[in-house]
Amino acid sequence: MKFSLNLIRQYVDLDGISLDVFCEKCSLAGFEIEGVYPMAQATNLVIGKVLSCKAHPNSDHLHVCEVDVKDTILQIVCGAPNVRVGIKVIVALVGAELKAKNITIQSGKIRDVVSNGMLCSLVELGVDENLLSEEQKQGIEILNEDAVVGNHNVLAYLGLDDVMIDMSVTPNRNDVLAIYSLCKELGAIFDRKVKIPEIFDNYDGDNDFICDSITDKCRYFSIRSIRGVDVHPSPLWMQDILKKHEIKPINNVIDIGNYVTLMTGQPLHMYDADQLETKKYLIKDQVEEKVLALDDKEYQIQKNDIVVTNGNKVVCIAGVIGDNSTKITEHTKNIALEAALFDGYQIATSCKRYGILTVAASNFSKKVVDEYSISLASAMAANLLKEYAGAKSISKLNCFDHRLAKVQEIEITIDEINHYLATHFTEKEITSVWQRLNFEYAYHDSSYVVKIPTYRNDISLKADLIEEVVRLLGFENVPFSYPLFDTQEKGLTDIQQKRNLIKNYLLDLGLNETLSYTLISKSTALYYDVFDHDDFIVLNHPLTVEKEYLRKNLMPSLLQTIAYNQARKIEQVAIFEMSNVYSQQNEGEKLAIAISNGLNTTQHFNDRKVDFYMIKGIVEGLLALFGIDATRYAFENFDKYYPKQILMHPGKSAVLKINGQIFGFLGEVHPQTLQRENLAPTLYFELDLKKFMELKTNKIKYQPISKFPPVNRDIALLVKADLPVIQLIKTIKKAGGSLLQKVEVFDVYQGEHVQSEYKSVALTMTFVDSTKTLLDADIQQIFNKIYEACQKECQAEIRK
Amino acid sequence: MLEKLQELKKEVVQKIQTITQAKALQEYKIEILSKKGAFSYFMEELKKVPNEEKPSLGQKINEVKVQLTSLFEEKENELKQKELKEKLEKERIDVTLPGYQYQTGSKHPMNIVIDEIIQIFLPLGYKVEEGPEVEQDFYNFECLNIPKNHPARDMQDTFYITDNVLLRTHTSPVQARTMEKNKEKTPIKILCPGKVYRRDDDDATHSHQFMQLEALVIDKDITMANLKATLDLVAKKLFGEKRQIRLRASYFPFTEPSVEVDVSCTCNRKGCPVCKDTGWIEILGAGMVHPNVLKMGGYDPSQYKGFAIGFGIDRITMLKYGIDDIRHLYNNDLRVITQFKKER
Ligand SMILES: [Zn+2]
Repeated sequence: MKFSLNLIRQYVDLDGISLDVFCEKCSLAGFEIEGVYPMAQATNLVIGKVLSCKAHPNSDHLHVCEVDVKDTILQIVCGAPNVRVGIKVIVALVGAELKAKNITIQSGKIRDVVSNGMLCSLVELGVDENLLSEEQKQGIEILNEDAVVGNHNVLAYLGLDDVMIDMSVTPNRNDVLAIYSLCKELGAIFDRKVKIPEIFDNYDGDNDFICDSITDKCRYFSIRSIRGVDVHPSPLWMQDILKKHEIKPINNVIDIGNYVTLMTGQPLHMYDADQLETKKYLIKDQVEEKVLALDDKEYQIQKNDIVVTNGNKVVCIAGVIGDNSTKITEHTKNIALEAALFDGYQIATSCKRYGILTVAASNFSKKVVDEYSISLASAMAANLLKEYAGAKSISKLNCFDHRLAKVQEIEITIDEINHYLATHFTEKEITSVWQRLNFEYAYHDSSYVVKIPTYRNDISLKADLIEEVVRLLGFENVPFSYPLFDTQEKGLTDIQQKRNLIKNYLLDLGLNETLSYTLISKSTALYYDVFDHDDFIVLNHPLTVEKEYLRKNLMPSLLQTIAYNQARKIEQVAIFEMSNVYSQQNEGEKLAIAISNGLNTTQHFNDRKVDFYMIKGIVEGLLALFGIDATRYAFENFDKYYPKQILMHPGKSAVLKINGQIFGFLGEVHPQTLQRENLAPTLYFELDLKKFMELKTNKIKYQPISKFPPVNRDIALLVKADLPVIQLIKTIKKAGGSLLQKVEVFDVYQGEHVQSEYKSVALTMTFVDSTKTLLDADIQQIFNKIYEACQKECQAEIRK
Repeated sequence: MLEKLQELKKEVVQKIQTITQAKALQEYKIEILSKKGAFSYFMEELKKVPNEEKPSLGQKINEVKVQLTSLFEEKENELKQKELKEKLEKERIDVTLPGYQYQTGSKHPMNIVIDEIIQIFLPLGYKVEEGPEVEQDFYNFECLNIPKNHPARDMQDTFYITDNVLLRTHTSPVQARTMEKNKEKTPIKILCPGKVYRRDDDDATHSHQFMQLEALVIDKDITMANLKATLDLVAKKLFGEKRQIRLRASYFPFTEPSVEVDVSCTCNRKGCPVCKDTGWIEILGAGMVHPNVLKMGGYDPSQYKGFAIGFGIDRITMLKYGIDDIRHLYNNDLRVITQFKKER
């Protein structure tokens, strides 16, 4: 909220408190000051009177004026269209600084004519243009006749020696949005006296209006009859206050209503009593009709919206805006003054649909209203109408009253407070808090019974009172002391440790960790939706179409991250991310790796191959790190499982199966997808991390190493080109039995000297026996067996 | 003949000195020392001298031959050394070219900060708890003393999926779930890190997705002084031993009293743009667990107290490293991320 410091000073004694201290203490007490805005910023001003005003000899729009400033008469050149003889004006003397326009006034010549000062507009003094009329913005400020020539205290004279404070209010303390309440709070914070004028209900007439409610969303409705008002502009002091608080002055009657709302928080509504059909008000919430409101706009009332009706007419959209036919006009003589309490939540809901939020609606929905001061607000308005609108008679209040709030009493002991805070506050200190807050209390035997004023609807528990104590006495009084609890280290869970293991492995390889958005667009989500049949989770009211779907996999995020970097000339992008993924069926976690243009290669040394086998190698390393040995996993052709897709290259990608189940996929990204995302060739791997974490790792079974030397034998086999090498290896392993320690591929060749549709696979086999040195004859025997098996099962022939 | 022998010796000694190529030396060696070389003449001549002179003359010839052989060997060695040296010189490389790359990657800066905070708390016996991001209204709001129609629901505008399912707006629902899960209602000491979401348009200071880490302690005899000491510990570990903390009153529906925590600025309270001339920088929110939250979690507020600390990881990361735009934490620009290589 923004408020005028001068207005506050009328009610709270803030003398001797600097602006800096004011801001700091408010912040410490829970009201952060977000900005401090002086109404005007100018030095060296004086009020002057224009004695003569002649056309400038060298200009068609400038004037040369003689200005009386009491001590002397100054010659000043002025360019304002409204300058003329006899007016009283604001003179910025030589040396004056006008901070808003960054001007320092110097004596000099303007088009060869001497000028010693400047006649000012309020804009030049730094006054917010929203507070000024067109006339004020176009020309210099013309002061009232009562202005005293020679008065140097110009800003004070203009009421511009004020500072607007922008204070943030937490939703539990919306009570301070009412100025009187704010004053009480500031009085408590600074331990200063607060003088809020007492309000008396000085009715002197009868009230022929009656009221009733048939909805529980109106718990209080009061009406007062005020007769014989004169509508004209409100007093300047009131207009000034309203303008500073961003309320447009209209006329005395309406301004009084707005002023009372500003000060008390209580929304009021005034009807032209002569335009009402009947004397009976009825509050309803089951009306459906269109209402032409006093802002000349039509609002569609639906069931549940609260309305004030009179006769058969909706005369006010309750707590929001009045209707047009009963509004206050310049001809209004008799007024019906409403002060009521409507359900804030309903009003907020209705306002969202109407698309307006009036001060009244905002005060109801934020619970600024003090339920027990409603009638006082009505009385205050009535008194002001008598004083400033010439009201002839004020009736007493008629009301419908079903209020629920009760004055609360909370019992609390000094021990309870000090125990909670670990403080040593004394009875005197704690008592001072209740006094500063204006809370009534009874004290007996170290125990208080505190009465909570109705406007403090944030307080209902002991803990709330404890907060008041520590807030006002200062958090610096709370000591530092470590909790005495069991500090035996529990450590990270198994899964959390595994996550760190994966992360460190990938970081060591040179991959960078990313963190991307969960929400993606529908079109992206659907494009990448080929891996499962789960249903997307979709926001019901997204902010933009770009962020509407929750991602089911990480592929779009990682590919788009690569595109983002490559668009910025970072060509080599090697990244990974571990993030949650979401579907109607479950919230999972995935690991994704993407490598574009290699990993740890430089342009100078770029012979490291960036192909399917690079990403496969990284995956195999990960599997080994988790103790998942090759007998448990397999890589199978991707297109076998996902035949119709354009995300992965059909021939250069694979699914990873562990224990016969698909855990992820890897390979080169499909050229069409590369094109869609505008990417260089990219390798991608995605793993169902949640499932992966649940896998049991193989136990280490130590194998003693043989004392006898291993023997290597090479074999080059000619097989059909489409035979997966893994089949050959499996066959060899099976036939080789326990003596065959290892089989490794060292060459796969197709081309010259090999028939087309065939390939040559060269392998090295390592044999070892733990009981003896293997002889050529032993090895030859196994070798023959292996070859036979390869012939039989893989149609392989020794390459000659 | 002896003169001739001496002449040959002299000639060979001189010639060897002039040879610079191993091949030429080899050829010259053959010319002089081979069976058909220069020495063969002396061997023939030796046959002609009288028998009694043969031994002494033969010895002389042999002496010279041995001398010359060793001379050749010396020269051969010298040339070999020289050639090797030349060869190695030719192999000279530019040591200023970059090495083959074995650069490690960088952790994401926000995860660096999360891990750092976890490492502060783990030795004190805290556990890391996780919870779903797609959360029920009940855990996200109701359990945390934010019933329907509560004004604080406005404060954190929420991404709803259905009327009762939403993207969690804070990590606090993990608190509620942990309390509920703990059937024995024993003391709790947990950290809950993770992604959270609010309906904000993204700009330099706002993000619809951000990271939080919440610390929660529930035990008998917990006081506000315990919270203050814990906050002080964290501020010093995260920002430096010389930093101080300041508490300001605030409001969160799930704590009472609630505080904003400021850490003293490096400008030593002189004022600077980072602290907006206040000398203090807001780093996080905290408070004593609200009695209603304890009650909802099945803990008796007259027996148990607690405190909660909510770290805004984005904000702390930005402050710690001087990152000026929150979007840098989400666009994964490698020019940003790779600066954090040394932080593991
Ligand atoms: Zn600073």
